[in-house]
Amino acid sequence: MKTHRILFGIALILGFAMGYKGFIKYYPNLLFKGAERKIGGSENTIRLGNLPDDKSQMIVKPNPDFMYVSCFFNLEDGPLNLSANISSSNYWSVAFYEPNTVNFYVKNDEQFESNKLNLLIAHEGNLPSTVDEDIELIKSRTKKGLVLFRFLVNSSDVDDVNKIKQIQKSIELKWIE
Amino acid sequence: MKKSLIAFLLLFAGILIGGFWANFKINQVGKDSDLILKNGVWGYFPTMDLATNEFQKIYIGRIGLLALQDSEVIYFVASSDQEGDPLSSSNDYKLTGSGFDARYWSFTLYGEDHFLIPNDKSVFSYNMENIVYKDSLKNSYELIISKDPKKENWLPAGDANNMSVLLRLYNPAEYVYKNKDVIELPTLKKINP
Repeated sequence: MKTHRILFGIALILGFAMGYKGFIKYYPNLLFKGAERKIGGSENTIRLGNLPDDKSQMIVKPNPDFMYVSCFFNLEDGPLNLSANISSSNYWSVAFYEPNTVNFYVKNDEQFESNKLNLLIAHEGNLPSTVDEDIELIKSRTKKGLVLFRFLVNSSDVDDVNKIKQIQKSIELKWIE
Repeated sequence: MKKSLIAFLLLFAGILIGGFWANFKINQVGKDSDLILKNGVWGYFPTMDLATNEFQKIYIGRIGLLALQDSEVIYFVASSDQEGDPLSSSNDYKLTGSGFDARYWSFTLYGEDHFLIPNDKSVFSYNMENIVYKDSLKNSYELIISKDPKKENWLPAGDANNMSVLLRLYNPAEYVYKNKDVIELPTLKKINP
């Protein structure tokens, strides 16, 4: 009888530890999955965003001063090249996230030396043997993740909004040849 | 067989209790945790350590998914007024402050669901460029949070309750990072009778 009580106690404690650890470890991934579902679109496809308003219900706390560009990437089939021509004097940044929501890379316009963005995203386990000098290599610990551009825009200036829309369209993500 | 079933049920019950306890602990992060410190009405994280701090990662995932590293931006959140009362559209508030040493800063009002509050004017935020300053040096300002229209610097509150104001400081000066606890941040006072 006593042995059974010990066994039952162990089962309860073990279950508690599994539930506690599991929740802490995987809940961020569920939040990320939820965002992926709401934003929609297929993997490795660029999604251009308009200025957020009250109907923007995909990601909590959107910044109404920013126009976003997002892409859920998958490096299963190899590294991806992210390029763009960003000739804006406003603030902009590009950020990479792991599926556990951690922002592992961010760089803004003042930190880039050129308007021509040229990044290579590669999984740590599948790095290219050589990378051209004009390309910055982004090493990802995970095969899947998110890249998110933030463009500061003057929402009351139609020309500024249109300019950012053109820049958004210049963003390309493709497999390296 | 019966004892194995009991052990399995206890394991399952333990998983549920463990999950609920973890959820409870995360909810406490927003209440009485050392993770969030205060400067006036403004709450802030001393550091954004999402890579190793699991509680912070989940908490931020809930209230500000896809937040950036603090090397890029510092966030301050106010969800109560100077008296400690939650922000409600049944009151008007005056946010009084001065500019920040940052490349870009803004105030955005969010509802309880952490989304922008619907309003006829589609006004959700003010930033360093479109805020109307009180002085010619473009330093001091007053924002009014209200459900009723105001002449300028009006942040519409709609019918929202448990609102929050998010202050974003992009690329702030180095001293801002080191003095989050003492830098001068705006006051947020109830102004209706």
